Amino acid sequence: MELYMPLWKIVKRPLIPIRESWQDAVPLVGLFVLLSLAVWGALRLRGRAQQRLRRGVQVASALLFIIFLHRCLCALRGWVFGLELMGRNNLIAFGHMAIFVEIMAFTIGFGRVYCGWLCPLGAANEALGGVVRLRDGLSRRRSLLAGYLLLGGLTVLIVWMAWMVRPDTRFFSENIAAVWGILLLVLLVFALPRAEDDLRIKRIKYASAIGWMGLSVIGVFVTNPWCVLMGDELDYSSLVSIMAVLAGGAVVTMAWCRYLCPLGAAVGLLALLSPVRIVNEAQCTDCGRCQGLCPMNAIDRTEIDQTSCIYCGKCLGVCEYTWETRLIGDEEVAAG
Amino acid sequence: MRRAAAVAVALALAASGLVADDGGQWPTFHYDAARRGHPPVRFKTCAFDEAWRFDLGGHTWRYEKGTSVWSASPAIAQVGGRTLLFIGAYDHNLYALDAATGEEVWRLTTGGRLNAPPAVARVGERTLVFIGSGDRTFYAADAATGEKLWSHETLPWSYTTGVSAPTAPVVVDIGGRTLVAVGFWNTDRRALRTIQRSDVFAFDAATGEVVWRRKLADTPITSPAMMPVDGRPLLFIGAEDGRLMALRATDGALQWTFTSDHAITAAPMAAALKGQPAVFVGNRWGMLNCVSAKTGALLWSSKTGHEIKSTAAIAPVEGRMKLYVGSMDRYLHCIDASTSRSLWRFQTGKFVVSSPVVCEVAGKPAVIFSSLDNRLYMRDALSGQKIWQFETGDMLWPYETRGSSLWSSPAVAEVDGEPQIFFGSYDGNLYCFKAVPRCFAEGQDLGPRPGATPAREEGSRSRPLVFLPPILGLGMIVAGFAVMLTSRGRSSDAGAGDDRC
Repeated sequence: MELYMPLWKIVKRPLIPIRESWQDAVPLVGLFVLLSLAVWGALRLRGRAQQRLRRGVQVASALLFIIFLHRCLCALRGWVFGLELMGRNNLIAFGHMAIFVEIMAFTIGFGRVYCGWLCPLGAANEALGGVVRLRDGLSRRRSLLAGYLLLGGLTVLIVWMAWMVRPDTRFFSENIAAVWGILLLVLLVFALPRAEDDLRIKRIKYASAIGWMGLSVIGVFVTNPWCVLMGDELDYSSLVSIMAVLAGGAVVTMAWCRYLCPLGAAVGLLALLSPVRIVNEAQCTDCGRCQGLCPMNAIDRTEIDQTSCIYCGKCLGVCEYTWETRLIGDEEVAAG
Repeated sequence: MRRAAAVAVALALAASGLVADDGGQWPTFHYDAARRGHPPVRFKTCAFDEAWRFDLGGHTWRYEKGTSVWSASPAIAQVGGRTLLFIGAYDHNLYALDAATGEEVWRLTTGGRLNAPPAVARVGERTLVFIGSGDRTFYAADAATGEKLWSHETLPWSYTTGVSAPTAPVVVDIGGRTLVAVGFWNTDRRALRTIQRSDVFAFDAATGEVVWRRKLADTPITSPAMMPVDGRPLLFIGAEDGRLMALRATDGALQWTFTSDHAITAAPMAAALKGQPAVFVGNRWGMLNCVSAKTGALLWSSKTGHEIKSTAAIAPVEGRMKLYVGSMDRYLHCIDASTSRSLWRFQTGKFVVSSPVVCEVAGKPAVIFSSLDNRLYMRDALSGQKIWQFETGDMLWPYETRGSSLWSSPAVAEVDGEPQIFFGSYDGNLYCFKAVPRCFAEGQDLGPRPGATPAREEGSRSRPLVFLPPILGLGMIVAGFAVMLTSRGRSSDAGAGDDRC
């Protein structure tokens, strides 16, 4: 059985080469423009207009980084590689680090807008939430039965596919992304019936980020689930992991983003520094209007988990959720 | 004007002589200065036996990124009436072996690991072997005795200097003077004034005098390929910053630059295509680019599924020029050199990072290459059908950083008139194979070697039970959706008092 992957990139040359190298300024500029648009939309728009713009930015981001540009959005691993190369190969170090630094800078300023507005994998995961919503309204028992059947079926298919096309690589050291994908499916077995413990289960993402970066530091080549899409690479490890990630998204909304995404964990921690965040100072009356609103399940009554909030804005206008701008250590500066 | 024309003709003749038939020897990386990987070697039969193996002793020093067991390729030449094979190793030694028996003739110990392949050339009355070492030094030694004749340290040692990455040398005869050109990537992490540069050096092969030196990039560079273009010998060198550059071999002047879409880590190959000189180079994005050797303009490009760390081989097969290149998508690709059309591809178990060799086997063109799945393959160059394959042992290190340089490419050469295959494997052994007077039918081979990983037979995945899991999986998914869709009405009737998930 042969692997088949479409090779679809349109632009196959750097459009604005940096120092005549393959390092292209266009992905950096494109990312900056889209992130700026996302920040403006998140802060200024409300309701349907905001969600329409968000969909537009997500589609534009997917088109730009999956179809149009040859450059991949390699962020977390690139950052580790870049640090290793600094002072030894600055040009390549810059290439590895630039995307990550840009995402980090926006996260520190405006929270996880990248995750909620740009990440193509996050957008796909969120769209798969439609399958999860089919279980809304079912009794707990039937919902779990359907969830486990779906999870089991998808897991069997993925493991079968992974086995059929397996390369002669060392499974752990050379296919870390696939290992992470399988970990996600295993984690969902335990997370599925424990929706009430979601906040605690989500802390596992920090272990994921530490492990991911630690492996990169010791020299293990850690691919990402999106390498197949954005890197346009016929990569076994990435292929298995992206299938697991999408399968997980059909069982628990944005499961990868919630529980295991190492980049999400890293930007989640940095988002704690962001002065711009969503707050709700209302008294909870258990009206249930916020239930199921947040795709990341970041809302716990009136509390919002800032490390999980992806600034999608779906909760704005519901209850008393609103933006607050607060500089670190200061009293409230502005709210609106 | 007449004098200039005469000089140009002389240069062309001198340079073209270097890419001519070397009489079954393998003097440099990928056979010749143009790196075409197509020696005039003919095996009479299509079955092979192991003639000898040279073992490094299995001693593992340590693994780090960029380490390979052997030089990327050996060099093989006639020296003093016998055929010697020269190959560097990670244990810092350049070995000279008797190609007929595998016995060590001499070794030259350097101060760093030897990942770059050596080159051999006749210089005056002596045959010299050249190699760049990880100790930032370029060595020239007498090929017969191993005596070091001269060396040049390209960057002085300090406490902050890093490991150097030299390239394969290329030997150029210009106006009666033999030059040896080599690239060095050197780094020094000293505070405030870091050094990270790739230089190309042209040495007088006889004396070691630096004829010219040119800084080429701030990133590592590839081994140079050399081909005369319009009577002038040009060096073609790729860089990790994505540039492919053409330098004049006489003085190092930059002729043109082509910027690729990703890092170039494999040496380019130069060849004439329908009378027009062209350069073929793969890159980290899996793109094989064909560039005009005259202007640097892109002629065509062809995408493979993953990074290309392999130098393409080119050979006329059934009247058409065909390219053979390995990719980290696990395939060996056969591509029409004129149209860039993919003709066939063959899937191995792991990354194909070696540079293939095309030669004649039992009257038919065959391509020989290795994959990191521990196998050395020989396939029909026309159809990709199996001819022969050999299993080596596992690599010396417990794991590798994917994409790092654990490659070694096979070489073929004639020893005492008998063609042989040489392959330095990352299991620590250098293997030599001889053709034996029998041929195997399709599907047969010599079988696994003792201690080797058992082969995964082709077609072993087509057992009927293999379709059971997908049927089971699809069944579970359908059942899941059935539960969701059929229960919706009943659950909503049950009211809001249910314990929702």
